[in-house]
Amino acid sequence: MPEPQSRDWRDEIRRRLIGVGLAPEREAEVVEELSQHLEDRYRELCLGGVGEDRAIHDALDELDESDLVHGFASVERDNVRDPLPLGGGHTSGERPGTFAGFWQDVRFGARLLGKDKGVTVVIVITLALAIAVNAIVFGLTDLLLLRPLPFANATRVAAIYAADERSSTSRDPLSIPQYRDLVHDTAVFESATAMVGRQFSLTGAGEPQAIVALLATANVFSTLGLDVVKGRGFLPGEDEAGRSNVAVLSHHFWTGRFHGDPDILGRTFIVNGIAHTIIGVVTPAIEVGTLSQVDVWLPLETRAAMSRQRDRDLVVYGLLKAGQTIEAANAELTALTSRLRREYPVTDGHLQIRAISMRDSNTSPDTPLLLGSAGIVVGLVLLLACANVGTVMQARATARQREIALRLALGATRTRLIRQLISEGALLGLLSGAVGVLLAAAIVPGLRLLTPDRYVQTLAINLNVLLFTLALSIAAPVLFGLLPALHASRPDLNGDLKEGARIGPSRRLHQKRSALVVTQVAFALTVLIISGLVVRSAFARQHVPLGLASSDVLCVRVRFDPPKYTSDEGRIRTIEAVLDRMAATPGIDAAAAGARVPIVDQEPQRQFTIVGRAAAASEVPWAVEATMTPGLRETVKLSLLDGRLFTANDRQSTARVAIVSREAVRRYWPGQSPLGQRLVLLNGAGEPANDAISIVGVVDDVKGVSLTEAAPPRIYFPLSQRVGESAVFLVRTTRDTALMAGLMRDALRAEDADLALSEIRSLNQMLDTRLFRPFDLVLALFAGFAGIALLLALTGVYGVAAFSIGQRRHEIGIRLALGATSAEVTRLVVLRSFRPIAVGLAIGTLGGWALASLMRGLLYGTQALDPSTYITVTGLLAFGGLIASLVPARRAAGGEPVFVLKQQ
Amino acid sequence: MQHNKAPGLDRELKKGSAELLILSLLEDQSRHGYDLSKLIEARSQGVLKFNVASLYPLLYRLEKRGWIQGRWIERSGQRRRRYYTLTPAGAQMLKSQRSTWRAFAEAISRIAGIDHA
Repeated sequence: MPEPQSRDWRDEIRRRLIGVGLAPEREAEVVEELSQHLEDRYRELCLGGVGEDRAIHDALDELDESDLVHGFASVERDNVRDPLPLGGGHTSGERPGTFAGFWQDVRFGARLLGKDKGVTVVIVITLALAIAVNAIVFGLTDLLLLRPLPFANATRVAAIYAADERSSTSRDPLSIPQYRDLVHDTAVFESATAMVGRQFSLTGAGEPQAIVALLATANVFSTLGLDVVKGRGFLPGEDEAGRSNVAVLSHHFWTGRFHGDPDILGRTFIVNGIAHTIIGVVTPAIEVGTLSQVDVWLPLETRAAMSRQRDRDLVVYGLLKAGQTIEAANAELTALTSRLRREYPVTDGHLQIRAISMRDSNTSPDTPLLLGSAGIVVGLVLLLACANVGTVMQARATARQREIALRLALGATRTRLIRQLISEGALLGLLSGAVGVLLAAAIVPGLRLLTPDRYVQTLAINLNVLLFTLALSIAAPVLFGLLPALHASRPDLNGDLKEGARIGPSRRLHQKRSALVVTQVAFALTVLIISGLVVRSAFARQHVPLGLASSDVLCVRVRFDPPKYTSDEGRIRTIEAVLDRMAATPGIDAAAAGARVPIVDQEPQRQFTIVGRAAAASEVPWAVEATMTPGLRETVKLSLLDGRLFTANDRQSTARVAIVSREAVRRYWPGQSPLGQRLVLLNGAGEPANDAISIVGVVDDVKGVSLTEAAPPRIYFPLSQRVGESAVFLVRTTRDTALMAGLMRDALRAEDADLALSEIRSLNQMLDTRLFRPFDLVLALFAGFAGIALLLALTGVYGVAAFSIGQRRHEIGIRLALGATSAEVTRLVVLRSFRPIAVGLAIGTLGGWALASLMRGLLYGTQALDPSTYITVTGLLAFGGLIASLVPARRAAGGEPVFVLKQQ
Repeated sequence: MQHNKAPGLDRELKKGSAELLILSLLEDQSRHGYDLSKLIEARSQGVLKFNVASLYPLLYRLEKRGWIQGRWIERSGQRRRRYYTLTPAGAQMLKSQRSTWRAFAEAISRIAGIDHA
């Protein structure tokens, strides 16, 4: 036989070593050594009679690239360490149960996790996702429900509201006389404070500005337990006439308007034409909810205001005496209500004054329900993730059955093995927790962008959230780790040591796996149903017709104060001149003025009588009062249903006119036209306040501050007949906001350079702040939950199906060998996998329905048994489940029977 | 030795046995890689087989641990080859691994004995 020709293997070896990344010198050595080996092998094969090509192929076959990379990587990683513990694990001389033993378990676990990097990554991502959403929901709950409010007396302060039977509102403000009666008649409160937000002007300190002032009784600081960061709060008696020219700045106003001037105390500025001395700056901690809008705190003169109309616009807080409860307060308030109802049947006949905790007053009634649902949903997501991870762990445990059987045979105790598996789980849990926190920290800033609510802006991963996540990280492994651990540590020693002895998985195991699929699908479907319903509700709420077109509308508030403006005529002249200028400005499609921003501002309720119609004291008609100029219809697209709008001819000197809303017609003129009817407004005491007013038109409804409740009845008056010291201008424009805001300001300043203007904001922005419409947030959260649940369920079903089918390869091989077609086997396998999915779908539907019924109060525009939601999500999950079991089934049934059998 | 994809101790055991085999074959004399692979295959009558991609990383690992030492040696009329020698630490490890494997083998036969009872 001729001597085989010598070959150069070096290039081929170098190519296959690329992934190893050796240093050049080292590589040269390795290449030389390996090429000698291959050459020896090649020559031996050739001498043995193998053809040259075949010999080259066989020699190179030993040089598997991935084995090389893996092998060299393990050399790099390798540190001298003890061999893995066999049996009782006494190799290090430690006794089981000692800390050293635990440490060894952890090290062992870490090494195993490092080996199966792919599996570890899948497990960590799965758990981290679930932990992240739980952390976020917990963070929100902590923020909105658990964390103490930033007032020293937060736990003892009760918010006191009036519930109005007529409008079915529960959080109406009180009037000054009602507040005074409350202070006088009740004994449960140590003190009570009343406050009201107003739009005032600020001059004498730079450019004139419209500001939001909070008028509050002098005891506001002591009642709420508010801190000041500078100076002091109000002193007793500073809310009395003659002593009330003092002002406390909000922190953001001090830092914004006055650039945090350290010498601010003692400075004066002009509020509504009256000089006020700055005496303090309030802590920034209280800039929460509507309080965050406040620029300046001023004393509220309750005595001087006694004679004024009984407007109900005061928010009242009472500090409960030590040992007193909300219930005790409500008992006294009920007695007070009875007296007021008796004495003032017209104004107070429909009211029930009641106290609720500060916490409840600060969150919408939906909040606990929403967070509760979110909590249940993310809890299910976590269980789902644990079930998934459990499947993977189970698969690993099964793969390790021989190892475990061997170690048990060598004398390892069952406890020791369980401990080892659990410590492996604990490592996974902590790792996932850490990744989950990072994930949540990355998601939170995105969530904050979805709502303008300033309080939600403080959402952050704080210590509470970290502790909660730690608890989850410790609890989760117990859920997913213990079951496989218990199962794996009680193997059938004989059977497991005889590899390949079994044709398929045991019945017990099969049942367990089916139960896992049922659980996963049921949990996922429940999550999908709830998320689907919440998303539908949020979407419906987001698209509740407000009755006006709020997009592309900019608003500015303006004050018309003495000494420049002393008469209604002067104010009307300026307002109309400004409107003319605005209408002539390019880019402004329409402009209007009114006393208040519709919906955004607290609009007063007025009682009235209809001329020629007698009404019982308890059935006096009422409506929300609004004023407008003729341009409002174009500006906010208000629909005229009947009659006419106001015109330039409706003046102070002409007959008084009004327009009513559809809801007002439905209530007070059912089945007839209100046009030409006349009404008389009543003052706070129930007496006629002015001459009869003729109804000239009917417009469509505009919502009140509650989006879910029906629109209240409204009466519009022409601004030209009912102007006040402050007004708002609304402008419709599709151009750039900043540019148009500048042009609006120009139009106002051109008319009067000294007008006090507010910041110019879009109507939508103002509505978002006012109505707390965190719909984007809710939508994003629940859509996220649903997505994660779907992903987890499908990967879970796929995992279990792939694993079960993998274990039944032998059976599949036999079936194929006996003549079953691949399609038949696929059908059989898919049908078998789909059975638990179907059971899971049934249970999940029931679970979703049960949970949805509990949270019925949250649903809007849909119902707990909304068929389209159920059909969509069930179909989605069923289809996904089918695909997830079809893929591994086809793969298994697609092979050659011999190959399939050989793999076993 | 043929690789099995089973994770965990299973693989670790095989790796452990491979170490034992190499150390044993180097106990009496220095050998080069190809020699070692041929010896293992021959003495196990073809049951155990190393391919290049697993043998050399193993040798480098044992060398890194200080159990064996590789040296390039040129013999007249032959190409330069890398020969591996057992170090004193390697001899110590061989002794310890032998006793572990003896215990393991005894345990296996104990189980086998029960199995046949």
